[in-house]
Amino acid sequence: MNKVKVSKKENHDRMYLQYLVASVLLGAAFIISIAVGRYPISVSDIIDIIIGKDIEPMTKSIFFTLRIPRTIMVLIAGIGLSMAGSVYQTIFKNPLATPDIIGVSSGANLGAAIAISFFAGGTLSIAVFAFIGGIGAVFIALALTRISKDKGITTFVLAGIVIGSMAQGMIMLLKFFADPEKQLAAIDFWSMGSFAGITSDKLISILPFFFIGVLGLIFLRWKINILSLSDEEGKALGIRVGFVRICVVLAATLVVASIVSVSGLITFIGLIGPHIARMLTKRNDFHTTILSGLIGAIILLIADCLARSMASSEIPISILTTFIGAPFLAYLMGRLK
Amino acid sequence: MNLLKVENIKAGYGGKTIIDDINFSTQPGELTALLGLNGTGKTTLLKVISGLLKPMDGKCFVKEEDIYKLKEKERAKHISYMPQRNSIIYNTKVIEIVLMGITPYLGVFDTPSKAHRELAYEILKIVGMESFSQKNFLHLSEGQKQLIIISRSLIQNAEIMLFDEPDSALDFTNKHMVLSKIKEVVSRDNKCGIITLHDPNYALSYCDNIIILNEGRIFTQFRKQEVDRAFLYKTFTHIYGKIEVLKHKEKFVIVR
Repeated sequence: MNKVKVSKKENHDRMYLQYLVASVLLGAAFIISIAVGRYPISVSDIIDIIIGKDIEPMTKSIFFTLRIPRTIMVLIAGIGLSMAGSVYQTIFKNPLATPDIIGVSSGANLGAAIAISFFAGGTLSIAVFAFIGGIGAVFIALALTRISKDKGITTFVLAGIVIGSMAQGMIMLLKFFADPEKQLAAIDFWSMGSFAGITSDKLISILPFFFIGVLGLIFLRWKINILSLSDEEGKALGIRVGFVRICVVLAATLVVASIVSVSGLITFIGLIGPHIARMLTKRNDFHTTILSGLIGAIILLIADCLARSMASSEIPISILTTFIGAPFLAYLMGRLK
Repeated sequence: MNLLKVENIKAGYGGKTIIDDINFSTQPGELTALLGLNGTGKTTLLKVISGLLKPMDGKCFVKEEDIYKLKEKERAKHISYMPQRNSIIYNTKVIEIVLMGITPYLGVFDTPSKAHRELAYEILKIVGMESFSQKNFLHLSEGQKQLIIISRSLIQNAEIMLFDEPDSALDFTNKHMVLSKIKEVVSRDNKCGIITLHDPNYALSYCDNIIILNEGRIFTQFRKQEVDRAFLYKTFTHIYGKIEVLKHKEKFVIVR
């Protein structure tokens, strides 16, 4: 009995240590992200701003209008995409599931392409259309699952593939008729993702959706755990498997759609964060999902710093996350038994 | 009072009938074995009783309540079900697996409390796995995994406990240990246990009732105390072919 109690404590200590290290790294990445850019802000400037000292107006203005909104946006994007990835990998019982498995990214991409092609493509209309596109695609995919008698996860994945492919087809059509100078380039750039255009208005307008989605996932945390079992086991344990799964999918969709509607597509973060978290915790409960979020945020903050400092113009974020993510996937391949 | 009453059940998959005309009832504190060759519908019957598979016809009552009219959560408080194979694919601690059994007692947004954790630990003691509570489930042997899944059924604390071949992956010693644990819990807590088994000897050793399925129908059902060697010989020869029934220390043993 004593021995077990000790090991229980050790386990908790280890978990808190992981949270602590991840939070410290995240804090460091956050500060670096505020400091780095074409107009560098030093750490002492940041401290001066926080304690309310008078400081050069230019620095102050960049701090509040550019760096803070952008850094917070990258932070919540990393947290949200990684948490959604972790949850999807659990409920779809597939360690390679990503947040776009049931079409949210393709739908958002289509929405953005429609806004660019038909509505002059102002940043606000792109964000609104992308958000509606992402949510809409998932709703259609969910409706599609109802035509199948099999309500298992295979049906969800298939519906996601159908909706994703339809959206891709329509995007190709729009691109084909798009003005190559402006619209085509805009559609392509959107799908590469970027945090360059983030303003505090955009950030504030997506925050409610993001928080509702994340809260939904937090509330459903125990049931997400049960959904990792077979449908039969879940039902025998008293869960309305079909209904709960739809609730989880909708919450995760809200998180992902709110992010990609303003950032464009961001690849691989939903895969890397959860995998590193699972390697560290050696388990798959909601603590792992939270740690996934922290790790995803650290990686995305660093990637975004590189995106805006590596070249004379900004590099789209997905180029960097892909160069981080693809080798990581190869590494995972090597670990597979 | 009949704890479980199964009436005229007919069931199958995709329009194809697998079991038909199934009638039986069980008393509290009794363990009932479902015997039969592969494909005779043992698992199908168990799924129908658990509520996982809606029957084409017939009814099933737990304490006079129609189980097909209960919500999942309420049904899970009355009936626990242990599948042939568990479906855990991610690293998970043993205690967390056991705690999954407490799910029907949690509110919509709740997670298990500290008291639930202590209860899970106590349940692990019943199957002798308490020292594994913090271990990774995926690293256990198949036999140990079964013990953990049985613990999950135990913590669910339902009157009706269904076990689909819980002994299939266990070694000789563990088979006996697990089956005697199941029998012990069922009679101690006055539950109704239904277990599918392949080996008639385990059924004769541990179960009070035996139901033999043949081609989707109940071939015969009997209480162990009420039968003699001649009856067992006649019955089991029909199902298993040429066999002998021996008597050893007041117990019947079937050999081939």
